[in-house]
Amino acid sequence: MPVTIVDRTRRVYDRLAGVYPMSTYFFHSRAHRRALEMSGIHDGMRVLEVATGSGEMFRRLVRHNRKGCTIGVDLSPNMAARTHRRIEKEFPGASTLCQAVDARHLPFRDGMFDAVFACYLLELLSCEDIQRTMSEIRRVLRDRGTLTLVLIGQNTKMFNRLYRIGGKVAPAFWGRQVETRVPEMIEAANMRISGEQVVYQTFYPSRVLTARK
Amino acid sequence: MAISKDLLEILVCPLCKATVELKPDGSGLKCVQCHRVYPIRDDIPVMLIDEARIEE
Repeated sequence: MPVTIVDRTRRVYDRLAGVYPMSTYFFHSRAHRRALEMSGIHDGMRVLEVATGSGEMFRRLVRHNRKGCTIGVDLSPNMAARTHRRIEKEFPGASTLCQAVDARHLPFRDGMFDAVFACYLLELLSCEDIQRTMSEIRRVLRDRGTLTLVLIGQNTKMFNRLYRIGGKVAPAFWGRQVETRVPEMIEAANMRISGEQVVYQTFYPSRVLTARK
Repeated sequence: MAISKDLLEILVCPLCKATVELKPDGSGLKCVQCHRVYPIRDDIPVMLIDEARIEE
């Protein structure tokens, strides 16, 4: 069977599970904090994070939602297992579940979640796979439920050029910048954009988008 | 692996979206429709379609 970009992405992130938290520390934590504020979630909700990575955003969600239920999924079984172990240790007794899941095929019933988060995921997917993922996210959200996306934002020409080079050298790790196309994809998935902010950390731009079903 | 009843109730097969049930030995989640079994490894359900095996 041919190896797809999805297979390669999974292998790359399986190998990086131990060191990936560094990128969050330097580049992503501020955007994670802003995403949580903008999402409007409150304790007691049922929340899903798609592509938990090594679990930094997921820990924030569990901490914020101790009386609720927080579920995290990641394509990489190693990343999901690592997040699971960390959460069990840090939040014993919390209602959580981590799973290895392909975002294009979510294993949840329709309308189960009050809120869905996806941080730095869409960059790693083809346009067709973004549409499939959006469709799945919409399916599992309840009516008026909220989707919060964090994307790599546009920065200077130099940043964008370096990113394009990184994307060509290691597409399964870097992916590509898609943020300018995402709003229309959200609307094509029959969701309405409700908020948008750009956050900088070090030199790294992130764009936080919220949308409602 | 302890998946609570509440959590189990919201899970479905990622392929056919039918109900999944925890196997009696706790080794996986089985779809009642397509009979795919999704393994539980390192305490996490691996609900990837290409990792499942069909068990009649």
